Amino acid sequence: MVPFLAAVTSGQLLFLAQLIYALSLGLALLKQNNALTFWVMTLGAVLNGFALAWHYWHSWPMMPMYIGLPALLFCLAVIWLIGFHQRLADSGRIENLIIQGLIVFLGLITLLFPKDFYLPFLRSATIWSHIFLITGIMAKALLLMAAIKALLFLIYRHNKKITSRQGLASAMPWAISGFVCLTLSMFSGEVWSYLGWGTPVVWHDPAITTVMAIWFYWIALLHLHYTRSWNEAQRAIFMMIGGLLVILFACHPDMGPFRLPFKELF
Amino acid sequence: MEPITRKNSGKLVWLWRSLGSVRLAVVLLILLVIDLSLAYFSINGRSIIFEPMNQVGIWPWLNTYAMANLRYTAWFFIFLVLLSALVLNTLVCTTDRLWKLLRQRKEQKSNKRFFFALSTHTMHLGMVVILIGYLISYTMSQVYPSLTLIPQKETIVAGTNLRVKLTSMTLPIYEGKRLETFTGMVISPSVQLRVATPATERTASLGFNNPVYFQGYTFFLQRFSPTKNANMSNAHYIVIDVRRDPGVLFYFVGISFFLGGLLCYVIFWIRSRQPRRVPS
Repeated sequence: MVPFLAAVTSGQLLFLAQLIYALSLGLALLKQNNALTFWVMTLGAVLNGFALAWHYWHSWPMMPMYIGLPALLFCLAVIWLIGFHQRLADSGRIENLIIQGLIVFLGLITLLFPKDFYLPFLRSATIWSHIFLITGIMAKALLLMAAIKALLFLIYRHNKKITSRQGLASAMPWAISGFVCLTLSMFSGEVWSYLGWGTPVVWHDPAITTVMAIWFYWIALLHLHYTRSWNEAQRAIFMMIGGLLVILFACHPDMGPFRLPFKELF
Repeated sequence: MEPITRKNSGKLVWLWRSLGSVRLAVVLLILLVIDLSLAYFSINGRSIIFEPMNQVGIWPWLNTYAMANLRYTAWFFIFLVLLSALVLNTLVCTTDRLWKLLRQRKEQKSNKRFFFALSTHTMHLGMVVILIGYLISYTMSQVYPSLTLIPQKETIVAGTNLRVKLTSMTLPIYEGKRLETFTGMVISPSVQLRVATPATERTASLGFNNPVYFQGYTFFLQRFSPTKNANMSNAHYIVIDVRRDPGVLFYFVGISFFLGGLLCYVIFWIRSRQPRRVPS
């Protein structure tokens, strides 16, 4: 295993992980054996994790550049695996499929528009850059889960026997924990910005405005939730738009030029 | 100015309530999201327009770079207006609700509810303090950019009574294999700096993310040379920025407030979700 991992590149590992994620989605759509779907997904997550570890190994103590998308896939896959057995009980199959579909969609973007060829830079060799990166990615995964929960609420809201899993309240723990992670990411970025450049905002990277935009959006959502000024369906739609915003701003800054993955693999 | 009478005091109350309304906050937040989304596409590939703001401050930047590139900087003018409105809204809302909360403190039996409400107001106040810090930082900072220092030569920071000397440079070459692209390069420079005024002096180690603080001034390492083992140029020098930024304290205090409030909020939120114990 170790010689194999030493010989392959992160691109090859990611390519394999995406194939396996797609296979797992196919198995789930065909309603194949649940255990098989689970273990195939686990293998995808392991390969994805190795690809991320490869990047970190070749960058540490600096921050690996543009690993946002593969790391987001990994976070979503871990969330899927942790909740898999619980979700088998009720409407969770749809939830599982939506998460898997999202993983495959984001995986395709990662493969076709890679941007992981940038070298790390010396100023990123600080704990603050790593907190900024990791909490930011975790935040996006958690906020996407909140949006998925909101979508499920919209699908099942006319059911008379709506379960707690399908209620909008089930989205709030995801939204709040996502907001906490995003806040930690923003503030650690601010500390890093001050220590590294001496300024509160570094304008080199336009993605800073996307993080602020996502942060303000979910603050608006939390205000709407606590004041109950909109009804549940309206809040669920607002949450779903928040998910789309997260997808747009997670993808676009991390997208490089179009490139077929086969070149990397062989 | 019109004197305050019973008739127009009603208007003032209405104005105060409208300014502090949550509905206004949500509208401002959504407008900020739209503006910042446009900002992303405006900055992308044009960060060179925005970077000088950190050196010249906000007003000179608005008068020069921003006015000359209005197509790409218009979002920033709108951003300032929206942010100012949000600060006003947050201040009015928090003042109003905090005052009510403190007045009702004695009547409340539950400490939990009081501290839960207090945590959200702490976050609000934290955000206002952070933004005030930014404003101070961008309007009142003194920046002495790109000061080049060569070893053992004392340099005076123009416009101040500061003298800076680069006493030693340690530039270890990376010879490992793990960071393949950095082999033969310096990845952890360490610089000894002596900073002095006529009254006092200090010698300290300077590095990336490791600034030196002295008499209200902060010294940041920006560049160094040589960066490689076999560099074409063998010149030994560093480039530093010297800053005196009175806003820093504000935004770090603001961050502490916000995080403190957030921590309390999360603790109370988790506790409120736990099922209550039923006495046996």
